[in-house]
Amino acid sequence: MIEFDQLLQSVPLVLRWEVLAACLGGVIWGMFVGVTPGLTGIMAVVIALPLTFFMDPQTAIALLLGIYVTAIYGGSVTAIMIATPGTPNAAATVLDGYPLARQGKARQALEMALYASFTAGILSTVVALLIFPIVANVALAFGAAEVFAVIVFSITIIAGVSGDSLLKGMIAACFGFLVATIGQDPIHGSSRFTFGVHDFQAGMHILTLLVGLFTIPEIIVRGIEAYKARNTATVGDMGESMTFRQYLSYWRTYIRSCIGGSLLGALPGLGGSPAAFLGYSVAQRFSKTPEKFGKGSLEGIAGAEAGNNSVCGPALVPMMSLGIPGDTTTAVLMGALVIHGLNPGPMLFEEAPNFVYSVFLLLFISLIFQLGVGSGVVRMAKYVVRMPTQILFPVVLILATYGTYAVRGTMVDVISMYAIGFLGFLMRIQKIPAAPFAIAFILGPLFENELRKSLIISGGSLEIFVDSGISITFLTLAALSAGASVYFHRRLKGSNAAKFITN
Amino acid sequence: MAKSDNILASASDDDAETTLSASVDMDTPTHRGDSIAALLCLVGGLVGYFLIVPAAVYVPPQFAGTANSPAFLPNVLFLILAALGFIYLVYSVAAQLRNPTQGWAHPSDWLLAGGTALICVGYVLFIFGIGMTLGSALCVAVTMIYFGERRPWLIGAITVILPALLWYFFVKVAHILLPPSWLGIMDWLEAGITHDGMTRMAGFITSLGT
Repeated sequence: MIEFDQLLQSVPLVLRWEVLAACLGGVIWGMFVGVTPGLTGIMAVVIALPLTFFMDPQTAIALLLGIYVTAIYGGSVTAIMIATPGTPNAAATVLDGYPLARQGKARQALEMALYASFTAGILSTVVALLIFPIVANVALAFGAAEVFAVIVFSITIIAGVSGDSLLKGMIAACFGFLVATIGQDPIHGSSRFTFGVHDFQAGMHILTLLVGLFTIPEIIVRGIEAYKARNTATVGDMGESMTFRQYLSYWRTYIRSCIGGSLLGALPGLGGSPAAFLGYSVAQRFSKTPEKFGKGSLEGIAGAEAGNNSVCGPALVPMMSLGIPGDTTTAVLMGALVIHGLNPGPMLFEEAPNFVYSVFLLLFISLIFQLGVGSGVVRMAKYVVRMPTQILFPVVLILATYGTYAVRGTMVDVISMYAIGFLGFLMRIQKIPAAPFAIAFILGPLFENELRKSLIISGGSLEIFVDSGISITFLTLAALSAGASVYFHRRLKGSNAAKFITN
Repeated sequence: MAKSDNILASASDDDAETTLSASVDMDTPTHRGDSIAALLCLVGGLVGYFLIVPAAVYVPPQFAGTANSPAFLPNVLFLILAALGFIYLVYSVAAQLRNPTQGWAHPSDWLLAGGTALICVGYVLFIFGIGMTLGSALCVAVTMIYFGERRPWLIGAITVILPALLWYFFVKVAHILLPPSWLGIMDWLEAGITHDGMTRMAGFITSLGT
């Protein structure tokens, strides 16, 4: 449990001007990177890493944590304003954020994303701080079969975002799973669907797919509208601010999505994108108005953003307590600690307890700075909505192309992005929803990897999936969730709400 | 028949009036479009299973036919796609038979969409030809005009400033190399704008003044 004496002793370590300045600098840089399509959080941390060589450990980790925390939120700004997720973590935010922006409620959407991120960040950090060793042990209890069960549970969201036609949703998901199999096989490393193109060996990058699927069809459709409207079309209006009452009304969503996101955050290798979809899924399952999801629901944004931002604190727990990084960014953070002479693992808490507590305090400070900087970004977003469509979307087209190219520095990604974009446009015309495609693409590799690892461990026996209580629980939840989704889907079929989800 | 109408978003009853017209809005999916999409899914699934997977997935001999084969999941997915495509086809053909007069999306919308797609293809070709910076300048100008912008000063300003800013940020700040082009125009320009070259140019301008 938490040792308050040492927690208090670590307070002066972080309340130094150079530490706070580094943290603020990290937050601003993280926000910039987050809102720039193509620049990911990991890239931002790596670019800043050399700067930390000349800093003391607290200042260095303050800079990196500021970037780590804020880049996740920053991605949601462009997801809401121009349907282009700045980072893969913001993929689920597009589903409700962009429809809200088009309805003239961009300010509410942005504020909900900011406050949900902040709330979930604080909650998950408190959880991580209070049950530091317990979370680590729970994470250790998850083997391949348990992770597979969690992924199966997350996949059931596909039914919820399929709109009016579950059949079309399943077809879209099938495409997503298939595109996810491009590249090297995760177990044997043999090539699949690379057709001799070397750049396909690593598979399609998630940002390539998301930009193609959501941005390019939008540009084509908005181009038609802009041509017809001639200088009068804009994205929408910023609209009114969200009220404090509205914010409070989703407190259950923050907690539920935060629990899901924290759990995935503590599990190595999963990261923020699955957490966002799990958070979104959980929010929809428990919502009183699930039919509003996908057409512009603040609750949907709350679920997605609470899910992906609650990853940060718990992801640090296995990294610091066991030496196992939760995702790629925490692996870089771990490298930064090693550079500064600290050895993440079971002995870190014994050797440098004040440093461990200072890391959690810096997470809180980063979140507070994020709230301030994010509020400024929300105010600046009005310039985007005022920009006429015939200027905004050509600019978005160029940014999307640069962003896609920048991720891995290959034109194959750009060509793939446009190919997916044209496919996405044709899907959109036939009302085949894009969300199941994206979800299947994100969860597909995890699904296959954990399934095959489990089968290797069990020697091909399926009993491994019912051997532990954790996997039985999640598989049962998945079955219930799928059943409930089909039930609600049949109830909603043909309704205007379901059509909005597809649209 | 009623059941078949319910399974497709496009076949709902309240669309019936719209679908009776000869041409429909692009936002209204047509039954013929559904049938074509379904047929593509069915054929794609079968082609994938019988031709693409055997040709494009290397399976180590010891794993052939097992659940641990690299081809296992793609095969299952292609079969599911074919099965879903078949169901989709049955329902969409049934809906089409019920409502045979439904037309295509408005031709002008298709033309506009095709134009944007053509610009995207042209943009990629221009990146290979004249480089990303000049290709982007050309693309942003053409797209703005195509989307209806007519103010020359605005088109000119964005055409110059946006690609220049992006070039500076990606190449000079983030140190990301932009793709090489066949003509290498940007490489040539950048090589020309060296520090020495700038110094010499500044000296030349100063000498003109004195």
